[in-house]
Amino acid sequence: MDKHGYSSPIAEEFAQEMVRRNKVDRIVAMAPVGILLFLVALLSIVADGFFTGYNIQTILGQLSIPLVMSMGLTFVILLAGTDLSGEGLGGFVGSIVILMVLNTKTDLDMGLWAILIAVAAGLVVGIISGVIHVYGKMPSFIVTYAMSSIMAGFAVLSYRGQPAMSKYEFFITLSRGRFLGIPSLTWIALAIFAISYVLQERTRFGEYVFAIGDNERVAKNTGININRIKILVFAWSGLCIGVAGVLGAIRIGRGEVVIGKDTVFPAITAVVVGGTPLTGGRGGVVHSLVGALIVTIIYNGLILLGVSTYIQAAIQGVIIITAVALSVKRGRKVVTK
Amino acid sequence: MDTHPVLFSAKGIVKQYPGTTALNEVELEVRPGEVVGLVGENGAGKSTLLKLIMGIEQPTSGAMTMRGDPYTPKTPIEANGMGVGMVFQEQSLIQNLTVGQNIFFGLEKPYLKYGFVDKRRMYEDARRILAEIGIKRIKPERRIRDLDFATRQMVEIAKVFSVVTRRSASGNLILLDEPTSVLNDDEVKNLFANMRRMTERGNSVIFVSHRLDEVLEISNRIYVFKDGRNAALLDEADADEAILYEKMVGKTASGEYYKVDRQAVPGDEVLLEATDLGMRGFFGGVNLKVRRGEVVGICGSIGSGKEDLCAVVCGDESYSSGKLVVNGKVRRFSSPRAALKAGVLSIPKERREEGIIAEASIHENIAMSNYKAFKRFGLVSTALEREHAKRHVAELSIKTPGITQSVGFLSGGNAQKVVFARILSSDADVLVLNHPTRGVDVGAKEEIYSLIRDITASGKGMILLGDTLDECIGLASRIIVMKDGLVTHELDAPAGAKPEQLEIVKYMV
Amino acid sequence: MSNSAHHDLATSGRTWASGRSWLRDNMSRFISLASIVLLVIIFTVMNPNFLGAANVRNLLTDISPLLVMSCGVALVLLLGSIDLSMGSIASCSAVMLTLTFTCAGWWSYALIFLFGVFAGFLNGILHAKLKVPSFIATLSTQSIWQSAAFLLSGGQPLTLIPKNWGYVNWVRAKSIGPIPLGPIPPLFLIGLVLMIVYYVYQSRTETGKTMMALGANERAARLIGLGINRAKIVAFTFSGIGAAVAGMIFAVKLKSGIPTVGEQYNLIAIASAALGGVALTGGRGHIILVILGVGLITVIQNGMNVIAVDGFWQQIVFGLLVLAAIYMNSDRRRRDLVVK
Repeated sequence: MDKHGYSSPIAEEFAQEMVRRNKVDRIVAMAPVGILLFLVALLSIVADGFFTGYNIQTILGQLSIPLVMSMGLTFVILLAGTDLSGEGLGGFVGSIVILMVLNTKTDLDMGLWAILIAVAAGLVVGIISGVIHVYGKMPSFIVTYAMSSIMAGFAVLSYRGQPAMSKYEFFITLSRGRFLGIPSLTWIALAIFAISYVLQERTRFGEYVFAIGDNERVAKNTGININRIKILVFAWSGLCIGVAGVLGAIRIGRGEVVIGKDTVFPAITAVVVGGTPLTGGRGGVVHSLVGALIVTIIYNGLILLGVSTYIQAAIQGVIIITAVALSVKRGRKVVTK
Repeated sequence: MDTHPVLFSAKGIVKQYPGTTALNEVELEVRPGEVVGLVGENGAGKSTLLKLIMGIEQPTSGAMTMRGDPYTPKTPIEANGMGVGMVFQEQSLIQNLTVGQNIFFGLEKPYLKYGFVDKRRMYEDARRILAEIGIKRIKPERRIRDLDFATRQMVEIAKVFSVVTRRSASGNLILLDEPTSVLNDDEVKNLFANMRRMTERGNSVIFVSHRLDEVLEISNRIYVFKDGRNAALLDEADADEAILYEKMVGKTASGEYYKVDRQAVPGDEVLLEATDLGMRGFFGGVNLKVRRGEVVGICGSIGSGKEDLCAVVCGDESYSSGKLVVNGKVRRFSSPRAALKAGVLSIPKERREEGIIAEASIHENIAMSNYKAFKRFGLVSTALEREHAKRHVAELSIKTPGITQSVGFLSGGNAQKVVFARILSSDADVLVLNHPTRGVDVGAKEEIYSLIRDITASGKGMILLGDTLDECIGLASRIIVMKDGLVTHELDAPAGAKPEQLEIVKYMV
Repeated sequence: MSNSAHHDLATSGRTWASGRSWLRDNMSRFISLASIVLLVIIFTVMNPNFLGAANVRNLLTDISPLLVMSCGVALVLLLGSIDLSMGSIASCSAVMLTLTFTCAGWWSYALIFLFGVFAGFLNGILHAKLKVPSFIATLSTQSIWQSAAFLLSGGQPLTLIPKNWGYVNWVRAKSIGPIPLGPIPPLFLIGLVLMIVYYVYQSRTETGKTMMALGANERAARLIGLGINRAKIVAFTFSGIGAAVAGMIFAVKLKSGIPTVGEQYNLIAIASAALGGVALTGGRGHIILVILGVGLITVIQNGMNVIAVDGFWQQIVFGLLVLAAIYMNSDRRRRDLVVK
């Protein structure tokens, strides 16, 4: 008999192994922050004009859309699902919001109501995706992938031909405005982050999302309405995509389907690099904030270093594969599809 | 306060699954404030009964009562509401939530304030509940994933306790399914102290464990199940380990049943040899030899490491120490495929999930472990597959409308025969049989025993994990007993001089 | 695994095994076939030229790139995985082929074929060896190859210089040596040959059969002793080849390398495979029947062009088609089937 009182040396070994694994897990959980600091240090040295007040403001501006997108996506990925609808849906919401404010194409001029309606449209499409995924028992990535195509079609359909240009004063103020040196759009993104944080930490919804991602069967046996939670998650994701679409439209001042282009991939990268694995159940929105910062800083740094924008997407591809490959369980019996 | 003399009763409980009867006219009675032990071999029906009590499944016939009233839970939640809770064998806590969140998981309503969870109040209550069952050192704010297994087990018990006592502080029933397998000795003592504290308040416990010494220590009365029936009911004072074992294992069959007369005398040629084989944290120091015509039976209870040893031998896991020699070459299999190429193939325990491709036809399944035998002009020939399958279906008398039938439609026994046909069609000469008769009816069992004798007669060697101890002794020519990851005993079991079960059992615990 | 989990699986397995009918199994195929017939009638009524020799030749040419892509992705879908990188592999191949003729001549075709092998193999390694979920692995490589296509082309469509037209004129051949082809375009023959090769491989070789088995039940396939990783890598490689061949078809057909030519084909190829009865959950489907889905999609695409419908409607229609096709093939009866 040994000091821990296990009845066999093998059980003792097992316990030690668990302790070791926990330790490794805890170190790995801190890795994203380390990477972020390393990147900042590295770019400060190699990229001229990186660590300047102006560039930091730029970075914060560039942060807004990936951050908002990743907030919705975090909850979906916590469930071990995926939402790929951002490209089309973001483009759609961005297109219609410009059509509904004062613009060159229509005379709707609904003012702030336009934002509300556009974001609500994102929410509704999110709900539709969620319902199809849950009740149709179809994998979320393909449902949302198809949804992206459908919404991209509707986006182009909404303006047919020339995209509408915004003439709405408020949007112009927003796109240029700053408060405490931080761009207004970033404040909106930070507000979404704050709401996400409260959702995750202070509500039953947040708790259940972790639970379903960790062990769906246990959650079900406890009597939780899993389907409802899942649909709500896709609704939240749709809403965040909606907000991101509106922010995108405000930024470029034009309602066009390209607003959604290349927004999903950085958001997924942000979530995964931040430390929420695709298998769900772990991580959270704070991790994704760190992840979004990493993604944005890399993007910004590459531009400063004069790297072609074409290569940027490729680099993101490499980053995401590396991050996922490092975070997946690779035991012999693990089945990945 | 509930004053009914019987807290819970089950009478004439029958549970049938297609093809098998898991419980047959089972009786169980629990009085207020007592610990009832429940023991039996694998497949004796313990887990099935617990599932019925928890409302995870419903009995085919029979009646249960709780405090004298009819008790027919349809879901675990309903059972909880009636004051019945269960600590599951596997951990059912959410790793990334805190202790407090887990204890009140699904029951957060009373802690909502303007729609938000009032965590401070929730943690206060969690602290109180933990203190009530005697755990003071666990902070409710800690996340489950940061706790060791023993502490998680305690949290789980606290959670179940808080759920069932919601109705009333006493007169509840708590089911513990193998709760001690991850605990060390001190932790077991602590668990028992908690159980006594619960029973002192008029709650009752059904305690399921394969560690008979523990069952004897804590239980007031002990039910013994065997083959889905009541085998005995003993008062703690009248029982000791020997008596319990005798009742548990019994004597099911004669030598004829296991075709002992056809047991092959092992040859000299060693097909597989393990030297000091170990897998960190699961088993260690295993030495064994499998010769031509030999059946090496491995006996041991849950957690003895026998399943992991099997996994290593058939390439599903890798070993961390020692040496494995197959057909004269040192091997470390990277996959079951590598093992098959070296001549080792397994019949897995979970047939439907591991042994067959349910969607594929009988002839496709039979061909799967040896495609090169069915090739013509470099391509797999369906005609050859079918021809071969027809012969096997006839030889093993597999009952099926045709060989193009999907294996998923066959009964357990016939599907298992398809697995045997596949194994027989392969080139493997060391077979690892993991519960080969699991979920198979008596007639098919006998045919499978006969098949095992045929296979050994043809010169193949075999490692066998029996479905029951009796089966293991009956079929094996050599027996290795494992406990807590180590080999505790080895003995020969030649035809005509089979060892007694009790002789083996004393090394298993 | 817990006992309760075991049992639930076993019961659900039974309901699934006995409840599924032949009609239900083949629903998407019947609907595809019926829709093709119906649409052909409708389009012919709307525009009698639809079934004219010229348009039939057009249709068959249009089918070919989609056919090779769909057959490739069908193999991956049979595993229960997915390949979202086909579109950009095709785009990249189209651009590369346009560029390589000048220096490599006829060898360009072999070179691009090898590129397809490499791109597919890379996906396979990432998925099988590094255990990266296939959708994210291929989404990443899709962005890598898209970048490559843009870089190589400078972001603009490349036109094949007239000097190199000699390498692509075979596209309009009316015969192979002495054998006349009639209304059958050579590109369609390429698609057909590739489909047959894939079909034979999938149904008549050990690796092909392993794909089916592991798509249905990976755990069992592993313990049976089948080569899981090899089958996965081969399936992705075949998908890569399909995409590269599709890219070459685009390039020779259009006499140009457009860096976005394959973009919308990811979704369309998946839709065709699903309409042909390949289940996204793996283990069910036939490569040969994928041609039904391809036919339906092409008729819709071509028909929409003939009656002049705007392009964005196609995005909407194909998105809906994917949802409908996958819905028809998804198994909703297994109560506790967890779909992520």
